[in-house]
Amino acid sequence: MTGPAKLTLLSLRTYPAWWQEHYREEMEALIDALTKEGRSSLRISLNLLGGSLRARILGTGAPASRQLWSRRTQTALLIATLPWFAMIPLVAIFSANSGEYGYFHGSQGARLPRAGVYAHNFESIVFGLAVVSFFIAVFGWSRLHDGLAKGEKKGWLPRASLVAAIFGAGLVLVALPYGLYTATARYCFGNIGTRTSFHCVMKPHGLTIAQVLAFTGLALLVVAFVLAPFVIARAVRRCDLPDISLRSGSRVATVFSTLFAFMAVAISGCGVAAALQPIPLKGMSYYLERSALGGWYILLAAAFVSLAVVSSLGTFSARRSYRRMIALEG
Amino acid sequence: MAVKGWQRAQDPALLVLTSLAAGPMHGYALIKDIESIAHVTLGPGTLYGVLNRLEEQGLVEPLAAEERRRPYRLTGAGAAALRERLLVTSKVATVGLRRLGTAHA
Repeated sequence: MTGPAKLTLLSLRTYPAWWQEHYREEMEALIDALTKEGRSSLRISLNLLGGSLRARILGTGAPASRQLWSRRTQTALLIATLPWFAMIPLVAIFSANSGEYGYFHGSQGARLPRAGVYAHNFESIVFGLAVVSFFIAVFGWSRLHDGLAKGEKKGWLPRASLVAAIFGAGLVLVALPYGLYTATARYCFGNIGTRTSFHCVMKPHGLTIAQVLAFTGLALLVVAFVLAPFVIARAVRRCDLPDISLRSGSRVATVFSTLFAFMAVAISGCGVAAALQPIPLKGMSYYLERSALGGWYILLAAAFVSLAVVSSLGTFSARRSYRRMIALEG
Repeated sequence: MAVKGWQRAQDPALLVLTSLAAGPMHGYALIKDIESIAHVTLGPGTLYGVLNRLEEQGLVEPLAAEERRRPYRLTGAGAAALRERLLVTSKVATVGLRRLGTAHA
């Protein structure tokens, strides 16, 4: 089988199971006929992928089974909400690389130009929305947790995630204050364990034990954060959530996708406003993404927009599937 | 002068129903027929998306498969819906053409 033919076959396999059961054979016959006619396999594959996406989102023609529509709702809820776990690191990257960038010519009362003020405001909106999204995530998890199957034997993944989170948080809380403020140079041993490094004469080298512990804690927290979406996805896919969890899940997903959309707009707006600033004059400050981010800003904004689109499609599908499920009950 | 992309605005569901008005057809025959009557090429994903929707709405129905190919035919409801839609389209077309004729006379 040639590469393009394989691609077409793979595209056909992306359709949902119920669709393949109904149409697969005749679609294969049609694709064979079109390919023999010399039509582009790539074009056929792209068309199939578009059709498959539509079929998955809309579920038109799916069997009228309550269980199937309930499972569809659960999957769509995951697609709508899990992008949050990708959004937060992106916000961290944005946060680390943006901000008001110095005061030019040493003026103390330097002000941002008008476009810079807009960029700064957009940045504040992004951070504000990220904080709100955190509370929504906690609320959503508490509602979801109530609906998850109780007493089910847990695998290593949830345990590993939980242990990493607890140890990570503990280490960070205990060691980070020391790690941040303790002198790190071998010339400053006397200061280890204290909250000052001001007496150090030389620039410190190396890490103190407190810093090593703090960084270990942070790494464990990152591991827990990376594992969390897999843990949630697995737990949700293994159980049938009750209607009440699906309903509140749909609401949470709607709020999430709306927040993501606003964040994507704010980040894009921030980039545009920063780019529109004039060259700073004496007494003016300047807002821009630092050189570390530079031209990658467009990719960052594109990633935000993509996540917002995925979340919105998931929310649309979840709400539609939930309504259909309720209609089937009636 | 033809405007690029204008033909894409045609509704695939209308094209499929119009094509099936000639009698039962399977996927490949539908694509060829639509190409000949409207100069529009539907991809397999688009075609089966439309057939799926029309089937659910009860406007078309599948017949027994012939080897791997399954023909579809218009139902009574489908014929009525197509007639109604074409009458409206025809009325719009008549008015549009008349006005164009007046304007360009």
